[in-house]
Amino acid sequence: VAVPEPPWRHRPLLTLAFLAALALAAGLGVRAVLHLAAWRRMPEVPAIEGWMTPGYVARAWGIDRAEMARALGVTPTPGHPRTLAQIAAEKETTVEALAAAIRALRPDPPGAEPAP
Amino acid sequence: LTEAVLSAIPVWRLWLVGAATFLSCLALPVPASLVMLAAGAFAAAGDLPLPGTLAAALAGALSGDQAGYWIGRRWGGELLARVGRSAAGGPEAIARARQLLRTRGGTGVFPSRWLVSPLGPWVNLAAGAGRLEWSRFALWGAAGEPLWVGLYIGAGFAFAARVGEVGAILGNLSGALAAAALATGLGWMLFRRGRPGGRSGRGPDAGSRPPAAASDGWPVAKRGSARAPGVPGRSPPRRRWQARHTGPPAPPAPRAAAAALSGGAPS
Repeated sequence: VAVPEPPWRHRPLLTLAFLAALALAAGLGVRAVLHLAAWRRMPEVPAIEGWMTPGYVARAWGIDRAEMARALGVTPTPGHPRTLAQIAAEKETTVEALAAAIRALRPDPPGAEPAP
Repeated sequence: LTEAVLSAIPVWRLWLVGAATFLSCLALPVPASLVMLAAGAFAAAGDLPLPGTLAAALAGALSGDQAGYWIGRRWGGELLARVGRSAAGGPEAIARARQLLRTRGGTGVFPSRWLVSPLGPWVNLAAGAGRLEWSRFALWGAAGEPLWVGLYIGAGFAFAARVGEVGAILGNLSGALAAAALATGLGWMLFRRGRPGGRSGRGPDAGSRPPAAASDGWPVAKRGSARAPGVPGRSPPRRRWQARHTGPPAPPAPRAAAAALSGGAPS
């Protein structure tokens, strides 16, 4: 009676690819779970960065858009949003200076990340 | 890169959203998920129109699927044929894969649009190369893409302040699911094809072994299957036995297989 040999003897490359895919699935799955678990520890408002628009920060920080525009010294341009980095370049200032002006509107946001 | 992509969205707006989903469907390394999440967040902030964002992403994805399918159809077939000549199982394996794609490929397109989206672009190319019926490809694609687009833009809209975290969770999750799907396919190939009596492909003696189909209905099949697979070479008694049995009347085996079995042209 023939004893079948295990398939990995005959197909080492396929076996390797199979194990690599399994390892990748497990690794990414664990990372997904870790990110999900870290969700509760995240601050409620994101740190202010150059890619954000005033509208985005207003939404994320729960600030009125008109109030935000006043604080930044810009006129809202519906349909043509600008990023904080663009506004800072126009006003010859820094994103950090704009961020400070925004933080002044809401000095104690819930669970905010400390300013860098 | 992330920051550059995010900064470009308010500038290029819907064009960028459509271009990102289009290019990602062609297997180009474009962070379409991140773009859709961020576009959803900008839509929530009032910087982008939500219906327009959804429509742009969907249009990009659907046209990208079509482009991928037709690229695969135009150039993939030749590549497949070339691979088939050297791959394990040869043209037979490619033909089987094509057949499988034709019979069940349509339903495979659907989850590759959204659930295991990292596999999507490769499914587009494979569907074209394998000549999956266009109408079925288009139909299943059109059913799945709204889910992909809706999932990511909707998540960005709902969790606008946490685009980065949502992106990390969804990215890892879809990657894990895609890798698991790949592992399932590879495992199926490994254990099904490695099974005795299954198609063993490129074993150590695959070159010298007759194709399984060629020995159907011929006494050699019994002798052949009695040997443990992997025994290298062919024993002299077997060769003598075959030499006795390859004379007239001719066995119902293809001539090439008979020649291979007898170790040369039958006299």
